[in-house]
Amino acid sequence: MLKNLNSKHIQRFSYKYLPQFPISPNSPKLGFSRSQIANYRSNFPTTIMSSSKTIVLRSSDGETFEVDEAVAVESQTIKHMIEDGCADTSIPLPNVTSKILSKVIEYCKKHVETPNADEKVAEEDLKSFDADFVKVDQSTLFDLILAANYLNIKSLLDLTCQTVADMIKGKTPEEIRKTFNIKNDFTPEEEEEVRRENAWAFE
Amino acid sequence: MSSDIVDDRLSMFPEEITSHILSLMPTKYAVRTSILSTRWRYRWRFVTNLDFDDYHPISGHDMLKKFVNREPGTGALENTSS
Repeated sequence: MLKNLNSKHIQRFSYKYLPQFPISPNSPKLGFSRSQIANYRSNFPTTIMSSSKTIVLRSSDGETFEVDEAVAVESQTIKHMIEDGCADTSIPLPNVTSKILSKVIEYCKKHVETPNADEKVAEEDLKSFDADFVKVDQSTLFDLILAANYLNIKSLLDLTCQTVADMIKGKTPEEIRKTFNIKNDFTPEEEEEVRRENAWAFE
Repeated sequence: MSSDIVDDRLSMFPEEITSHILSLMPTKYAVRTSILSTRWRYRWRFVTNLDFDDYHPISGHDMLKKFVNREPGTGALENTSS
C-alpha cells in the first residue's frame, strides 16, 4: 500500500488538507465525492484516519526506531528525505549507531514536546535537560556532534559544539592537548614563530 | 602507552565542524588553538565570526586593535591547509 504512495499523492493529501478527525463522506468542504473518499479511505487508512504519522529509522547496526514524524523532521536531512519520497518503509542512517541514534531521538523528542520557551518553567526545564544531555564521555560527545552534523539538527549541533568550545577556552594549550590527546608536532622554532605571530592572543 | 591508543578525534573533525566550534568562543581563545599542533595552526582563520567581547569592554577594544595591527607571519597566508 505504501509503495503506491508517490509524491503526487502526498501533495494531494498533504497534511494541511487532512482533518484531525475521521472525515465524514458528507463533509462538503473537502471537495471530494463520497465514493472518492471511501476509495481513498480503504486504500490509505493511515494517512486519512490517523492524525500523526510515524517514521522508521534504521541505525548503522540494523536497529530500528519508530518515531513520530514531527520528531524525525527535527533533522533537516530526514525532512528532505521524506519530502523527496525516500521514506517508503524505513530511512537508513548508515552513519549513526543505535546508541547515538537513541540519544538523538531522546533529544528531538524533548525539544518537540516542550513548547517554544513561552513559559519560564519550560525554558528552564529544557536548559536543564540540555545541560544533563551533554554530560557524557568525550567519545559519545564527538559521536553526537558527527550525528547532529550528518542529520542536520542545528540546535543539537550548536549544543554539542558549544560544549566542546567551553572545554577549549580558558585552558592552557598543554591542558587542551591533554584533554583531547593532541600531539604537539611543532619544532621549538615553529612554536616560537606561532607565538610571535599571534602574540596578541597569548597575552 | 595509553595515549597512543586513544585517537585525537578533535583534530579529525571535518572543517565545517571545527570552524563551528571555534566560532563559538571569543576569538582570542580560537586563535590560541594555533599553538596546539601544525594541523591547528591556521584553523582559527575559518571562524565565521569575530568576537572580541571579553568581560571588560575596554580590553575587548584593545584586543581588536591588536588583532587588526598584528604582524603578518612569514608565508602565513599561503599555508592554510589543515
